[in-house]
Amino acid sequence: MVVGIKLGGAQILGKREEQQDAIAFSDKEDREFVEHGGILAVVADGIGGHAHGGGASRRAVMAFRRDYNAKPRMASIPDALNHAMDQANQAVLKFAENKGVSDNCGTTLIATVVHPDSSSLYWCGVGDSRLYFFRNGQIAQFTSDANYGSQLIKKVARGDLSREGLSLEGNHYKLTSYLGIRKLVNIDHSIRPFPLHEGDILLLCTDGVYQALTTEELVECLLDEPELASEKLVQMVLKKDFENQDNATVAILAYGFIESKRIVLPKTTTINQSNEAESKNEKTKASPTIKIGRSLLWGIIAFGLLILTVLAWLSLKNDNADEENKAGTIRTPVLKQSVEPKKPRPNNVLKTK
Amino acid sequence: MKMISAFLSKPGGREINQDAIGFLPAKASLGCWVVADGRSELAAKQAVQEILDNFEANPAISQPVLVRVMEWVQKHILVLQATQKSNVPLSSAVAIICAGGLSALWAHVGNVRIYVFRNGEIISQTKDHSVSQALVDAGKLSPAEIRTHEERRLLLRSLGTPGGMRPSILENRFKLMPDDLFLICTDGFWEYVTELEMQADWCKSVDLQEWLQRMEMRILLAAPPDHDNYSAIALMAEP
Repeated sequence: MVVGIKLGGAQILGKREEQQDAIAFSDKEDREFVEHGGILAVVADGIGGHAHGGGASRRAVMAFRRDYNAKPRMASIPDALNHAMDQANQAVLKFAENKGVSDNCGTTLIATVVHPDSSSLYWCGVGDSRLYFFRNGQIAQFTSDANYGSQLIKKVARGDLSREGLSLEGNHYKLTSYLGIRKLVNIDHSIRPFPLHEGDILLLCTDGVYQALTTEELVECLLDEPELASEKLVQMVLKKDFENQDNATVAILAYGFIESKRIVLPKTTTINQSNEAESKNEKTKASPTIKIGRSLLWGIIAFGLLILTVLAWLSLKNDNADEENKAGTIRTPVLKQSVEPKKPRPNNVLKTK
Repeated sequence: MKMISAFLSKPGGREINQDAIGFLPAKASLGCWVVADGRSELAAKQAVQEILDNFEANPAISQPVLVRVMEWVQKHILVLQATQKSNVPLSSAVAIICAGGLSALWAHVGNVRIYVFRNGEIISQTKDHSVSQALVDAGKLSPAEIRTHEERRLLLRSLGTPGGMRPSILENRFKLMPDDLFLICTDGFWEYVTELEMQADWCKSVDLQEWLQRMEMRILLAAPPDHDNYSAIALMAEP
């Protein structure tokens, strides 16, 4: 039994003029890479108060994915994630320099890797975009925000600040680390694999999502298939109609929908060895079976029609329906599971795969 | 196997810390780690001290020894309770781990919990002796709901309560594997850190101390200002 992964992603502008969030996935059909590098998802949120936030987040995501996709087979996933984070930072710094906005341009970033062969999850993040994890009806925030609020909490833990003092402090959401600064600090990253179970769901999102929705609302949406769930999440954010709603972006990875639940057809042809063709394997394998099925079907239909004609000629009209039903019980294999018709999306919703 | 540990115990939003932690010896070949959550400061300290004193006198990873230690401590605390002039209650929830070499054994009474982690998964978790846990056992509550259930602190068993000790003690020795991880923690700790969060924070932590610090951050972020005392010991088997 092969454990599969489903992906979904969506984003909205909110009440902003520019989309400053960015999102990307690696190619989950690239089996050769997935074997050692897993499946990557990245979400970034350009810092609004700074210049060129949208450009920063897009460059960060592109650089991150490009670098991670070049992961050497022998490199560990945590090392490759850290390397990609550094490269993404360099890309943002260079972008800022080119735009003449050095030290005034940045983006958050959260990246996860699901490695199916070892059923493991890894992540790394900087800033306040988050990774949520959903299992058996429970949701947990895996990442901690790199903001001033977190620093204050550390002070409370050390006994340097009282709980009363904490509530008097402002700027809790001010970021203390993000891509676009020379020395990256407070990177939230896993150094050990987190073991995944079938049915686990990961949600990567920007603050435009979690500041608008409660965790209960997140859970409510995550119960659906990733594509539908991501759509529902951003729609729910839109529905709140908050004044000054920030861009909101979600990426969802569902681990453990079971491949065997799909219709797997018998191997009747030579399988295309190309990795690129892996995604088409089911169709490749299916074709001969479909031809056999259809030939059989047509034969039976023809036979049925002949019988029907004879029966009609004999004025036995009542038998017609039975004969048609018999022909109709011969089913051809179905390649795709049924999908609910998609609702039209508003113009400001971008669907990302 | 060498056992290494880290710990924290803080009053939280309260003036007095009625939790207590203790361990011995530092020699590592065979050790005992205790966490108590008392109905008074004295109760928790007394329970920890009595258990450690007894373990020191009978250092063994053995169920009969652990039973005898618990019974002796119970008797001693009841005598103290009867002879003391003040009305300070001396009952406590307690959890103990004795470990070293290739095995470990643990016991608990009340709602101080012991979690055992192997390869990032929770492979064992003690069951609270509380009304909320009884409701879970009866199928009327989910385990996750205990964290917010109003009767989670209503204990059915505790050390120092006449006739109400009845500890749960592991029947057989637990065979230690390298990197096995233990977390002993009071309700002021586990109420604000879910099992998934415990696992996630371990994935991010270089060592046991960092693990506890990360979980403490979660407590301080989630708990109300007047939150309960919180204490924990993290323990790892090092090859």
